[in-house]
Amino acid sequence: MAIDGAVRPAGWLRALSEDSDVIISSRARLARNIAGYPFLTRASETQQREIEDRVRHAAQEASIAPDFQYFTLNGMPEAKRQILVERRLISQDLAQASRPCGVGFGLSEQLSIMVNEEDHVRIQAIQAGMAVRNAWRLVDAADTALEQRIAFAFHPEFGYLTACPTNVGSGARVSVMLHLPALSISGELQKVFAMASKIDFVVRGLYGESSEGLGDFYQVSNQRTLGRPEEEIVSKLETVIPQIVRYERRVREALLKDDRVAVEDRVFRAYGLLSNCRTAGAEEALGLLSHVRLGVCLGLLPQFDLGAINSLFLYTQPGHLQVIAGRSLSTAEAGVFRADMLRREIGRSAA
Amino acid sequence: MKCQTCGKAEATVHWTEISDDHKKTERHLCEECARAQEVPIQKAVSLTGVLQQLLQQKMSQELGKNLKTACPSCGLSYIEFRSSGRFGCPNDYDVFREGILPMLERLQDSVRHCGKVPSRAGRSLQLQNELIRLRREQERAIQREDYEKAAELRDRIQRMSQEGGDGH
Repeated sequence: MAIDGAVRPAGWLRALSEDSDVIISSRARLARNIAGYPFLTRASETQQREIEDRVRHAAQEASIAPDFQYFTLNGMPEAKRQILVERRLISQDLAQASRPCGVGFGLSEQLSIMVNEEDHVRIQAIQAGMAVRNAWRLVDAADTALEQRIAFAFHPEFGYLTACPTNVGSGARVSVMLHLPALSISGELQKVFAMASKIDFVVRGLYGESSEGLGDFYQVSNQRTLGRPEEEIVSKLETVIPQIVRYERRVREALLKDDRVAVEDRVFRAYGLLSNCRTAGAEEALGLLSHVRLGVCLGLLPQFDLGAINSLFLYTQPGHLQVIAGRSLSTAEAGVFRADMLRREIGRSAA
Repeated sequence: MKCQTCGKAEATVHWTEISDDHKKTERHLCEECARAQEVPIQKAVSLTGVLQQLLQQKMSQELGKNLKTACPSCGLSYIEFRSSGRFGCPNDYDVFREGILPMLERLQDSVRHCGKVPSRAGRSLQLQNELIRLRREQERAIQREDYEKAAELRDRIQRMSQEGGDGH
């Protein structure tokens, strides 16, 4: 189990295919609300608890994922909630909520259900690589299974009704997470943003808004949910993502060809820092690991496995770090512990 | 920074005086000394406040039309909805329909769902909205410790839920 047990890699960080040099993971989520109840902001605590109970029971009865388990978030220690955020099982907002809320997921962590986030129910699926269609199928099936037990608020004209008008309709948000260090270095990202917005897609950072640029990770997701069939969104992503992937690869090659020294300098400096640092912040580690990851993809650091580097992005986050350490760490202690881990993992592979 | 007058308290009132010969003098006082010197204190401007004001001016026409609208199910008023951007319950979509159609057009570039539809036959919207209203009434009864009324409402809600208002 993800929260207490030994730390293991998140499934969505596996580097499985030839596209793993750019594509990290695919995600689909659905927003739903139980009919006959007010949305969360107008629901009393008693009602919020009732909603949580009903969703939990329905999800357990429907056994929507193998070895499904439900966790109430109230009273859960902060470090454990942080782990759930880092594994992308819950949102930052839900981790900080004080109302009755929780999350349920199966052993593989592919499918999860957030209860009492902005909407009563948020069903999400995350998979490694380019797998939006599969992720969509997973949430669609879970939604259909839940619907046999709970009636969701649905309007013949507006579709599934949500607390925020930006989610109404399908309630579906489908996204792909990409690693775009070359586009970022070359300042070409704006073109990607413009290209995405032309077809109603939006590009955000690792943890959504306000995390833009962290580790050069970007999520491309549909901006609109009304009047767009879910299948259409999936198909559009399947068209636009390969274009961005090709663009990133082209710029990587161009950087290497036009200014090999600058690229090598960036990669090996990051490698040097990670191999020798004595304290490192979480964001600093993300940035340096991003450059090392680029180096691995360009064949400059052949001794590294992409999947192992991907895992370090997760293990160096504050929540995971504390589980690995087996105790709570102050920011200063975490910096030292993180640096130790990075030196051990990156430094030992010294060529 | 300490107050320039008393030199003890933290200076929280800052302004620049410009004399007739364009000389600028910066002044930094604590709130107490500023008040003693009858400096008019301007409260910190809240960005949300300003935005809300701007928004409200722009929306005054639209608001004028919908001002008195409030949802009979959840009690949310149209102004509350516009300032928070969040609906209170599913019925708001119908109650505020006139106001939200242009908003959906702008946000979503569409006003009509096409895509997945619940597999089970649609349930009565009316029944669902009534359930939300009764649940609110039940909460209020509990708050004013009218437990008899609350119990009566609980039974009604249960009966209606079984008739299919919210999925049982």
